[in-house]
Amino acid sequence: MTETRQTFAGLAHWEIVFWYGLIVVSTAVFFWGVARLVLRYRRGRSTVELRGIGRRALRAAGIVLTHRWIKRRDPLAGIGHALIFYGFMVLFAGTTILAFQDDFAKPVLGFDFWRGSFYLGYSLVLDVFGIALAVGLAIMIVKRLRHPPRLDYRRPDREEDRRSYVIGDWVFVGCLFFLALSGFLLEAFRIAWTNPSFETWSPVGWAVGHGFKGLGMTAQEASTAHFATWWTHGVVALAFVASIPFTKAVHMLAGPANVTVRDERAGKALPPLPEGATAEQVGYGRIADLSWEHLVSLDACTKCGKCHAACPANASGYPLSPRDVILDLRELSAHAGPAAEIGGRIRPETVWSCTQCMACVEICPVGIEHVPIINQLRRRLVDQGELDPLLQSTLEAVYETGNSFGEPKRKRPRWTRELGFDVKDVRREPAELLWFVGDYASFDARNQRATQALARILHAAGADFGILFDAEKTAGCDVRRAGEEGLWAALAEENVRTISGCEFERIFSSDPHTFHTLRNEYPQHGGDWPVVHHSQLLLELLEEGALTPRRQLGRRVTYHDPCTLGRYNGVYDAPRRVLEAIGCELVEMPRNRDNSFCCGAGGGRIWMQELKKEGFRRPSEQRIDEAVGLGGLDYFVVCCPKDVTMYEDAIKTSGHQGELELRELSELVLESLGLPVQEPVAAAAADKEEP
Amino acid sequence: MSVLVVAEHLRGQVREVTYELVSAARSLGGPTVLAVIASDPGALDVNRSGVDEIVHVRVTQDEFESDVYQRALEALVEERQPQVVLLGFTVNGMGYAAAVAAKLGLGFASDVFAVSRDGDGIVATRAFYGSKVHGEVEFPAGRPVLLLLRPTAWPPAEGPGAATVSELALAPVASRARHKEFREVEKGDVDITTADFLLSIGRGIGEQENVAMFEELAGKLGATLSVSRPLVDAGWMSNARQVGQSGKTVKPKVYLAFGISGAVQHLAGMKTSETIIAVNTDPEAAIFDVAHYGAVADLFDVAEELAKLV
Amino acid sequence: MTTDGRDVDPDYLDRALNEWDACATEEAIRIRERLGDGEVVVVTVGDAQAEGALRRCLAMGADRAVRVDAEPLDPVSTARALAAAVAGESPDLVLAGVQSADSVQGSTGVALAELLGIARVAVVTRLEWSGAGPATVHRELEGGLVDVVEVDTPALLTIQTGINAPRYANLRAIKQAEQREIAVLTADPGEPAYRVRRMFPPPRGAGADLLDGSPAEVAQRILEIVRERLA
Repeated sequence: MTETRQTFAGLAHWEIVFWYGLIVVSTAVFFWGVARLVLRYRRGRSTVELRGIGRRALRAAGIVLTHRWIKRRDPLAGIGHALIFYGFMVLFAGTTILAFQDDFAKPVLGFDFWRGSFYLGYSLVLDVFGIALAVGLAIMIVKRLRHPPRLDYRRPDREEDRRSYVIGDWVFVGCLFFLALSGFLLEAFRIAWTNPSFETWSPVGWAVGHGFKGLGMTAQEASTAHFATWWTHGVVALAFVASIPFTKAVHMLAGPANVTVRDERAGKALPPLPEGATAEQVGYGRIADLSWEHLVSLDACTKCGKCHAACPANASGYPLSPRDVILDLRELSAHAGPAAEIGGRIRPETVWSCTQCMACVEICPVGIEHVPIINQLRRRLVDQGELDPLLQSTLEAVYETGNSFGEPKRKRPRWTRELGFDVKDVRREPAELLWFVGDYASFDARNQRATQALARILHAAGADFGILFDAEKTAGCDVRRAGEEGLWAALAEENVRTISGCEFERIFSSDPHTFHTLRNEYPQHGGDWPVVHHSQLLLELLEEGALTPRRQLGRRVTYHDPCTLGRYNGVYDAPRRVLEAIGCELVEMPRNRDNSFCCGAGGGRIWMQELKKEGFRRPSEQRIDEAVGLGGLDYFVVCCPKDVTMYEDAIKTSGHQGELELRELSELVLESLGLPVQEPVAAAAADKEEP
Repeated sequence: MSVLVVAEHLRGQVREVTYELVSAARSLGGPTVLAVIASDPGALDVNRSGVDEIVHVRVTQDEFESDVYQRALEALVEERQPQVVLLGFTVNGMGYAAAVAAKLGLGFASDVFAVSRDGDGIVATRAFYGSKVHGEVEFPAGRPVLLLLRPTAWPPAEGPGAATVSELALAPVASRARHKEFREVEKGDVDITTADFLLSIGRGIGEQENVAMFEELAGKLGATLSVSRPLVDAGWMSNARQVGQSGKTVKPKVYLAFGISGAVQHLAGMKTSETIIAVNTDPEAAIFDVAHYGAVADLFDVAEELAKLV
Repeated sequence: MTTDGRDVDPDYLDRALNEWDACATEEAIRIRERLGDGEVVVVTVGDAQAEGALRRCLAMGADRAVRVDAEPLDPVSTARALAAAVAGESPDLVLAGVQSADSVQGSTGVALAELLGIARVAVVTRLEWSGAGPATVHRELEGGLVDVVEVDTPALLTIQTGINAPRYANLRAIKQAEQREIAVLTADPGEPAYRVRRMFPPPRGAGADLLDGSPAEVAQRILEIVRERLA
């Protein structure tokens, strides 16, 4: 007796034919569904350039196979999904091998390899991975039964019956679980029926089969049970395959596809408008306006809710959940077709609630680009003039005066007056460093203190720097993120022209928004220069020895990662190392680095009306609560001018005044140098001359 | 220097600006002629100290209509040949003054807040460039000058006068813009965005009981009461009165803030007010960055003193 | 200040469409949209830099723009410079801002109406017009009383802010407006109605003036400032 088994043991000829018929139907339905999706995607705008598809596919394979994205911030879900994924893949591979042997190798080639030690190894591997699948599904089922908030499908913006989503999820996970269990039962009944000794290599089937026998099951009964289970398992399996393009299971296809075709700089470098764009070409107004890549991404969503949980707007009660934006678009795309007006489903107040902080994009396990999608929705609203009155007047001020404060441009360099030394005009003489100061750091009174501190530090370090004085205009990061693409382009063009006329080696800014758009988006207008953030510059100066702290501050501090510095640019360590160098004890907030919680000002939100709602707590206030929860802090350290503004306020309004103080990084560095923070630096010059 | 003043009246009441114009006229030396254009000019008592002559111009319309006033003023200028004509820089004054100036080729300036004689001519002072600068303007020689004077810039003339009264006959005027009715602006539902004068209170007032005192003060001052967000959050005031990003954006002539520290969201809603006066105990309060006038003082003491004065 | 002390150095000026004119433009566009018919022509007087404001109006939805190349300073001369250009359009309705943000003259529109020989109402806060015959407008008087006025057309109305919320003119539309031709006419503004003798900074200093003294003194100063500012 050789070690193998009959694939169709106990089945009549017509039954086998019927079975093959079912396979054909199931496969046809599957491919019909896939073709329908592909046709739907092809109706999208073709704005995505797929360069290096091989490299993309390789990177995507790495991300999918390692589950690097899926396991983030929820390792248990990562393990559960990995078990399901690998269990499913191996069982699927096993079925494919069997089909190859039965339908091709053996009948066509006369090559019969599914026997002997191959068969035994095959049996063992499939048993082990079958167990993995079942355990993974059990983990997910238990997680679901515990009702975590991120799997709560209630919308923040309206009441909606979403039971069909819940049912769909349960059917999906239940179906897979049924397949895993019935597979094992099938094996057990077969072993109980035929009882071959070598089937110890299918340990689960062996144990359960012998268990049945121990309970008194006869071979005849086992045969009958096997027959019934065989058909049930088979039909459910074929039904599952056929349903993949139509259910949550579509993420098995769209997920990896989206990870492959996604824009790797999504949200970080927004797409420019086509040259001479007409109103219909600006942003997303109808489903037909979406790029095909964004259409693919809609189907990749599994409703895992990580974006929903990470969203600062959602956390503060704004009518926005990034998950619902994607689901709304998906429903429109699937049911209403390309002509569907998005505005009928996603309301302007939802679109305007977003801070463009990238928390959702950053955590999405399938690479969905919520932020650029929302940005496209904003572009259309701006083009149609449907914007918050406060945002409108700010954009008008930016257009008219070149700054969001609506101040005359001559006031921009006014902060330099109190320095006690002259700041170079980089338009007139070369400087090693071009300091692009930014609006908040230039015009806001509280921020000017930090700006002046930085100037004094650089002066003390002997750094060669200059500014653009009144020729600097808003860099436009938030103008762009508010959806006013035309204004951003005009600002970028003008700033690029101004900067191009200067002689310098590097640009730096203390404003992460400015830093970001100069570094990552100005190249779209020919402005390609090395750009650093002042935290990086300070670290350099400390490490080179150009700055020597005269005293260790010995303060207990926490540090807030600005979205545009951290998530947008991956600068997490420079500010932390600066704090370390000046002797601060850094205590991390629970949400730090890539999980930093937006202050609420981003994406132009600082220029819009706030939410009016009972019990509304600003994101910045929630963040101060989080910091205060650490206990015994001296300072809440920031290195973004908008953070200075937001958190100075939030400390007062959150009811934590007196419990901690706000410091901008430069202010602490200046203090460590032994230079007074606010006084003119006649003293600083004297200090420098000391040995 | 002969001065013609046109009285302004509404629903049978002489408006205060009329007497301010009389004061301004007197400061130019006079003689001062006060014209009353009305269906029954005699019913309006305008005989105040400083008026030398009152001219009644009888018309068929009861209320202000710009064509009527234009024709009447043209007739007055023709007949009396004044060197200076003074009207209020009011909605009515704006309705016809420039038309008369354009038609008769007069010297003309509006929103004038100071006038003085300069030899045979006069010099008027007004603001330019959003009040960033003031300017003195002079007028073409040898023709009358028509000025619209800023209300409240002169104290009203007081005390009974001894003016003579005369009449000027005017043919009936067919008016192309006809007064139909007056409507009261709906009350109760306050609209802080259209108020010229906001008295705004914030967290600094401490307790809900203190709201009443500021309501009373606002009433006395003729101001509309507005608030910052914490007071709405606390449920002390309705959100219709809230200034700031989550409330209304306001741009009154005067924004008088008591106990508002100036959260950025609040400042965004009011920083373009024409004049901002802030009273706060905290000298570091951000509101002082946008205020034109600031007082670091106990806001209750200041409020009490203010209430005593009005 | 310029060297002769009669004006502010133009380098220190930012130019923009003022709020009242934005409201007047918006109101005109709304009338056209409501009637489903008609043409909105925007006219200004000034040097080439004034075209920025016209382009914003075009971006908002105005159909055509005309610039009268002249630089009158006072409102009556401004009206004279505009008169021929406006008359040439034979408009049914002329809308002007109540005043400009910088000079607050409140007079140009009314002077222009006189030169055009048409009816006018100043400081309009509401406008109802069927496209023919008289229009019904509201004037909001000091103290919150509304005067309802019936005015024959053609008419000139000076539009008060608050009558509407002007739409946003986005940069894409402004860029497109930059491609549009703006007709340039010349005119003689005639003799000015006044001449600036000198300009000078207002007596008060910039920024927050601190009011010192006892609470009574502070209150006294506040009251003076309030009375002075409430025009």
